[in-house]
Amino acid sequence: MCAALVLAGCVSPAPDEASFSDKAAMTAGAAASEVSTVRLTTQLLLADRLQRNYGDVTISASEDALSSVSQTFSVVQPPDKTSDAVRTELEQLLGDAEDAVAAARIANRRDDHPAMRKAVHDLGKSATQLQAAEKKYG
Amino acid sequence: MKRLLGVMLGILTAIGGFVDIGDLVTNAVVGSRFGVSLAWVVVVGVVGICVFAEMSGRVAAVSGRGTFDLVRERLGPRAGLLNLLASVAVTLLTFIAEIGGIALALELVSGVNYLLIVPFAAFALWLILWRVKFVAMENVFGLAGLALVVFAVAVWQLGPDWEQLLHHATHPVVPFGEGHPTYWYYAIALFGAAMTPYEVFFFSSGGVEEKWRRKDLIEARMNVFLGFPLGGTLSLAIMTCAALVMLPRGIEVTTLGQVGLPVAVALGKIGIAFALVGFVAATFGAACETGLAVGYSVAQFYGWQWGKYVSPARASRFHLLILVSTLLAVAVLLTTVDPIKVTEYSVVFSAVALPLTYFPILVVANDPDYMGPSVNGRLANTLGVVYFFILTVAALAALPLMLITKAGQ
Amino acid sequence: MSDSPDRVPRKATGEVSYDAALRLLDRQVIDSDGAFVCNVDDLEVDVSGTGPPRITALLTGPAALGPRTGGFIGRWMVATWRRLAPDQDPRPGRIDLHLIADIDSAIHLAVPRRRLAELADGDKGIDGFEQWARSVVIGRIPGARHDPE
Repeated sequence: MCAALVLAGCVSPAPDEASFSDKAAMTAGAAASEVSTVRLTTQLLLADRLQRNYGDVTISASEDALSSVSQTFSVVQPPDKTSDAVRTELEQLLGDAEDAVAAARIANRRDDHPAMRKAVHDLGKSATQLQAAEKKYG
Repeated sequence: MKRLLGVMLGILTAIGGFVDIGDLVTNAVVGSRFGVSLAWVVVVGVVGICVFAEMSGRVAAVSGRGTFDLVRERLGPRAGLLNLLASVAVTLLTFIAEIGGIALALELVSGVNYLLIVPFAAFALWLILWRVKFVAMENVFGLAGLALVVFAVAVWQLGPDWEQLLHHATHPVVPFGEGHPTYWYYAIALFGAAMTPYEVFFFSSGGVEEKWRRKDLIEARMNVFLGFPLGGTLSLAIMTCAALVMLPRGIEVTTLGQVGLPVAVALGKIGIAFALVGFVAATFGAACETGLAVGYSVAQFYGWQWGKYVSPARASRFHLLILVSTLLAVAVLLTTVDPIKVTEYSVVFSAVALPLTYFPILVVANDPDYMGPSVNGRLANTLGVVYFFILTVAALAALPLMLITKAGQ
Repeated sequence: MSDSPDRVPRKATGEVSYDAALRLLDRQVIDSDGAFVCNVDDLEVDVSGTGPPRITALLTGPAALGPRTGGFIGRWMVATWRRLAPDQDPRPGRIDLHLIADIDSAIHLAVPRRRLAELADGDKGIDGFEQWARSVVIGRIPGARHDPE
């Protein structure tokens, strides 16, 4: 039913600050997981320890999952001003994560090693920030 | 010598055939979130399936008939029908998950979107169930499934602190960041994945397909008592790989691709090649088994001719049922439902259905009409009853826990 | 065939005593070639005449199983089958008791399956669905008659 509401453009409710920050923590955790997956996959591709098809499929799956997690969070209504701040911060982190993952996908498909190495670095940073956020909100 | 080779083949096939998509996914998810703190569930589950598989194999060897034959007679048509509906529903769900698994595995191999692969995989599956000899089917997928040994090799290669690993496994603690309800929810899921209900229908009907007689009992028992536990260690290897590689990185396994990444870390491309062969063999083999199990259960309930040991024209309803199930599976998968989600639900619902599906085995194995002097001895019955109690507890707890944890989040 | 101590007693005429007959229910029926025929879904009982009711035949098919299952499921079973059956007034499949050769955990007939269809004068009760499945779907797929052995 919630999915139907989301599709209709409505906002899903977060009745209080605690449940909002729970959702934020869960989102941060899930996002960190996908970012770390892409990072590990890129590292393996760089070291020629993984087949290209496998790597590509895995990264695409993580990218889709990350985008879906972001979207689900973006329609959650923050109940108060403190939650507003949490929302802004997390949305920034999620945006950075999506950028880093997209860059990794492109670099991997081109087999562009310097770009892949940069992606690994950026993804590492993003993962660390998201994990810290998860601890903070949870 | 030929006999010895036959026995070895049976054991190897049992090992390779033990793991299916439910085991692949659930063990990896659990390892990535709970480390090895749920390893004990796999052990308990493996012992359980050994107990019941032995019973159902004995039923086939001694009576020459499948297990569901007697369900109606013992439970009456109404209870028997309800039992059948529950068993078939869960087995169908598992069947859909397995075909989804085949498509996901082939996606990893080819890069082609799994939805495009689904119809072809389903067609290939149906063709195998239509034409390929039962024994050939079992042997090929069973042996190819042995490729999953790569997970055990990967664990070795990753060089873990064995003492610490053993300590975590034997002193289970719910990890930080996970709740107790979620721990027990995944314990039940893992239990359902290890004690798959379709296995007993398949094992006993398969015994009839292969024309087991009393003299084959020893071989059947060795398949069970050596093959299944060794197969169970493959499950544990998958869990340990995830625990060693994914857990420290904060990666929660949600896709089949993630299941194999630890093998790449440990063994590189060669390891992945083996893992992919293993994935395809495990899911294909299990899809064959679940598809046949649906046919066996319904046909045996109604008294229809069933089996691959007769020509399809002689078992038309049986084959029609398999055809319809395959088409249904394709239709469901093409709605783009996530096959991993389907898998997760199939293992939990398997756990819910376990008491219903295992009760007839226990009853049949104690029935002298079928078994003559080979009825359950004290050990089999004690273990059977103890496990039945465990199964019932797990089944009752499964749905409430699913609701509380929102299916494991 | 096992030497079970609970074998159903039979008289020389092929009749079966009523109490023991209940144990016939829900058993697999196997023909003289070892092929599976059907399940015993119900029993035809003759209550005319003096003495206890006599079982005269085995009944099979949704028309027999439906009423025995009872309740909503049973009625639905019968209704669906009536709508799908080709005959105007479909009757349950019937196997006369004298066709039984032996009874252990299953009921073994003295005749092969095809003979049953002949004896029933084309009555589709016993094998209707199987024949339909074979002629409409399965028989048309290449390899249907391929013998696996």
